[in-house]
Amino acid sequence: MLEKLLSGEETSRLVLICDDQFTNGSTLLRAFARSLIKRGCQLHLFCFEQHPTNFVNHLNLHNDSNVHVHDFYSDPIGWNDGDGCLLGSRLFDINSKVNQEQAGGSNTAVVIDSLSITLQTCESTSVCQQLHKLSHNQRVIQTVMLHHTHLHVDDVTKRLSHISDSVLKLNLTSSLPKITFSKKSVHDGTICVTVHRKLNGKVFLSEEKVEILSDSSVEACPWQQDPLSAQTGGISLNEEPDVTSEANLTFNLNLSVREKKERSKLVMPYIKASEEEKVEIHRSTGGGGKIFYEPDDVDDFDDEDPDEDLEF
Amino acid sequence: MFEELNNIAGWSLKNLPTNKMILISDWNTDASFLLHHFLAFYLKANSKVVLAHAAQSFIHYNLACSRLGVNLERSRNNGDLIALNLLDASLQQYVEGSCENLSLDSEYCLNFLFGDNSLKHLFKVFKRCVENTKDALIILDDVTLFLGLGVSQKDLNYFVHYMDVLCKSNNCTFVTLFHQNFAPDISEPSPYLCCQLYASYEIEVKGLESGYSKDVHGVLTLKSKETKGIKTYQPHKLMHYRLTDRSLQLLAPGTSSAVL
Repeated sequence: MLEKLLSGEETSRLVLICDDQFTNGSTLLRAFARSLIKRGCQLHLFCFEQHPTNFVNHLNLHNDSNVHVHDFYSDPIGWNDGDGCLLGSRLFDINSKVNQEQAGGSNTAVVIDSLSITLQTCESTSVCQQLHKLSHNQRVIQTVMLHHTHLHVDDVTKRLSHISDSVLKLNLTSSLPKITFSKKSVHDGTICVTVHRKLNGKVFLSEEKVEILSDSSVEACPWQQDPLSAQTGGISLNEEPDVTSEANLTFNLNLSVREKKERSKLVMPYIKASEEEKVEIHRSTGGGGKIFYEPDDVDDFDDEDPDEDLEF
Repeated sequence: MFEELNNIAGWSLKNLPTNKMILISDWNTDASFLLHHFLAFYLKANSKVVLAHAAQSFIHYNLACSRLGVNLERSRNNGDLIALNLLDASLQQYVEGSCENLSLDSEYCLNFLFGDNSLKHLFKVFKRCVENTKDALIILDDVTLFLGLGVSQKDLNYFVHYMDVLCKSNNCTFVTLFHQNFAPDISEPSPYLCCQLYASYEIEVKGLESGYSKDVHGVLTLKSKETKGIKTYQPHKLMHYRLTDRSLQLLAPGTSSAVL
């Protein structure tokens, strides 16, 4: 699903990327920006959190003429100008900016590098209203925004998720703050949980393991949570064979398919024993029942009738 | 300065961390010894240093740094060090209700005590101090203190953002200390998370869970932020540390003399 959203195969007007303190959503945001440019969109980049030059440099573009940068990073609330705070009014006029700078084509896309400062400055409801308007602007084909869930209360995230067509939530498969000395922490992957609402109302949920390749492209493959760790409530580690330790072994730990088949044919001694027991029980039920008693050496026989006091 | 820490982080006198915010955080212990390290480190590298001290006096820092081979008094007289005495400024402003009698260095940066409620002025003082300089270091010795003095979490977040802007535009480094135990409002996300967001490096110092030990004073974790990957931090470098007056000994966990 993630790759379809990235390539534009799946239409989504408002894409929300949610990350937290352990995951870095800006890489995915850049992947969306790169993909939108490749598709020939006029990209409006609203930088609140990273320096615009830094963001554009990381896009690795040969030609950035399609990128229109709006710098809200350098002075978001007017401290550098010295003319007081200009909260709200100046900060979130994305809609009007897009309309003003629109050259006439309908392939405009908006990328917002983090809503955090905006959400701290303005009411989340008004931000949602603005975003909703933007998503219904016929000139804008897609809006992609980054949201740091750990910096805001849950209600804000819920509101934003509600108005978004696609919500991409990044999680680590293993929690980083738990400091472990095991090698498994090295193999940690990042999971992207995608909730996508199609135009016809169908909702798709997918969990994919995301990798950023060396050429900054994104690779996603389906991922399922380990049922054992799901039961215990812990975050699952995606069990990968520990290549480093196996490489050092002088013997083979794994079995081939043929070896596994042969193993399954082998009758273990305890299985045989239980089968014999079954036969004995069957015989005894068919024969009517007899008791044989073999006295031990130490048994002493008593000639007296043990039931003589019962007066039969 | 602590050579072992520099070696692990890949820093040296010729390769200073610039353009970055370095967050020092502590939990159940005091990590201010790392502030002394950065003070001595940058002054030895002949960089300009701005020290805004709100938690300790200048004498304290002078004494601590003299053990690391740097004389702060002399550096201040040479102009290499600018010391902003926020400790006295806050008291004077609080008692007298004004800050007219204060020296230039502390100015009106603590206006938040009287209704302005933002750290804008402090940011402007920092900005003025590092203008026309390169590779400067700004140290704010305790950022959590402001939360106790009435600055809102939102304003602290703005301040951290603007310090990040200042670092990027003036090629300087901002080092600050955050006490993780300090939680002013549990209903809102901690401002520590916002500091983490902007920090390129985080040095987290914790006391030992097993209690006080003579040979191991705590656990130090160095986290450096990843810019290309999808995870925020690269695998942590976790070490036990032992602090003496002049040095910081870093040990792989389980290799201290008390264990071996």
